[in-house]
Amino acid sequence: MSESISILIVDDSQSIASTLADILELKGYTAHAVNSGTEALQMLRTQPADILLTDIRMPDMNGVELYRAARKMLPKLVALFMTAYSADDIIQEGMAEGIKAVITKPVDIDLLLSMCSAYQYILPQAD
Amino acid sequence: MNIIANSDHEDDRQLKRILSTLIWISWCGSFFGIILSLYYRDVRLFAVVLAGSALLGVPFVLLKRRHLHTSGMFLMLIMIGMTTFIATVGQGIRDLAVFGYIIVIIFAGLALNSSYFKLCVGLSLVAVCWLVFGESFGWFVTTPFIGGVTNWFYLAGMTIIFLIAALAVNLLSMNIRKSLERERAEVTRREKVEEEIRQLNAELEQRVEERTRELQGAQEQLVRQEKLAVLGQLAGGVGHELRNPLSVINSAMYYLKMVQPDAPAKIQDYHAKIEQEVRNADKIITDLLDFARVKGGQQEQFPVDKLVHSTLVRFPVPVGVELTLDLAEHLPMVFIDPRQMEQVLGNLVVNACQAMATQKSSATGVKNCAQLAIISDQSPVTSDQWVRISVKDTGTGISPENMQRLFEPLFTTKARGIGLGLAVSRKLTEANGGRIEAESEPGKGSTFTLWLPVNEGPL
Repeated sequence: MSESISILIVDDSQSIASTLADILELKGYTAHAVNSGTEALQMLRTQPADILLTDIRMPDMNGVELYRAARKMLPKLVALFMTAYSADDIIQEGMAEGIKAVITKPVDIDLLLSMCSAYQYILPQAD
Repeated sequence: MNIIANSDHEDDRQLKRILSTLIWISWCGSFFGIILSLYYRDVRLFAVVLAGSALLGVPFVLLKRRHLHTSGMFLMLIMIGMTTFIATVGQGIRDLAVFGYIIVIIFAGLALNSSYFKLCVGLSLVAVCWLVFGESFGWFVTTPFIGGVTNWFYLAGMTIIFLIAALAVNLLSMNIRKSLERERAEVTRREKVEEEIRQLNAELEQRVEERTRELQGAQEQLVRQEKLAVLGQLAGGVGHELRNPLSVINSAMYYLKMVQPDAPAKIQDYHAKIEQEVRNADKIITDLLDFARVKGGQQEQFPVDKLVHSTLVRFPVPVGVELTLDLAEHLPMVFIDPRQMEQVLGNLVVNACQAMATQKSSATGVKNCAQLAIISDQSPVTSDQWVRISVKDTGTGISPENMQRLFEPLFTTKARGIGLGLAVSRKLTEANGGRIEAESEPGKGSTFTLWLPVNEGPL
């Protein structure tokens, strides 16, 4: 708990990513917002994150592809998906890859915060 | 057509019978005349009777060849001729001859057509005139029969003529009776046929009406499906696109509330309003997406009371509505997807509360207050197969014409609604192996009943 966990938020909608990042920052997490999979991978090279909160459908790569690439750099990375449509087929693919949860938009922020705080306790122990 | 032809045939047979009877009677009469003439050695009588019976062969042959009317005419002419001759030569039997004419006329009227009948009447009149005036003016001289006209002779002649007359009258009444019967049968048959035609007509009309209704229904169905297909395509895209901005509004609101925990009450009020409207908007999108694609649920054994309680947490009943829960004890678990059925039950609760929105709240103590009852039991009829959950309100009720369209997609009576709530509810309920029913009394309230399956169905 000494060091706050770091969360990377990826969504092609800049407003979604930045508002969520602002809220998480306000709650004391280290949060970064980016708007594409490529940007996210670049960011992860310089600033590793504990939790990846990503949209499923984005122009350059989808959430599952991003998670696969990111996991090569950070094997312990926890992935959470955001989707506008809970019946999306990619969710099944993500589940098979080992993502932890799927949050439907509009994001229930209390739910997101409780997940983050849960991982905050779990992650250091996993280290 | 057939029957008419048959009746013609029947008439012909009748006529043929009459004519052949008459010919045979005439031959019998001739035979009697021959015997009489031989007995009295009267050459004239013998010659005339012999000639007459030979002449009878003509109508007989004509009859065999089916020239009925010609045959009848010949017969009548022969009878008139013979009668006239006998009356001319036989003194004292002239009054008998007059009877003979009457019988000929009756037969002609019965058996032949009206022109032959008139001819017979004319000839008979001429013959009678001849007999009445002939002797006075000295046109002929009558000689008495050799044996004389005794009382016995006269009586026998009268009897024969009477018998022939009786035969004629009998034929006449038979004729009339038969034709009456035929007519009656014909009328009955026509009535029957008409009735059949009427029935067929009615049936046809009904069938046409049914077909038309079916066609209209099919057409409406097609239009509706087309509308829905377009809606489904739109829903996917639009719903997805709207959820992103909604998510931003929601997050932004959350942020504002966090950074302004001590904002004035008015501002907090507006924060709450924005959040509520985001939820409403999201509800509409959910309905749209759900309708466009009802997801295969994940059914599990689930307790009914838990379903009701979790629904009421997700869709709380507004203040002012008096809620009554009447859940039977020891209900079996139902086999459903809890989230989907929560949504369905929630829809019913929300609808019920909206139907009672204008009613006085129970807090004011007014008797007619908004009451919502959720009743759950097992139907005695279907025994252990189903659990039913009824949502009963005291709202405005549903008019009968709206009742029919209640579960139709895009049908709504609400000012703010797209008319998918109940359509989705039904789709989801049916996807879960259950069914949904509605009854309502306008002005008194409505009851929506969910029937949920207990078993997993055939495995």
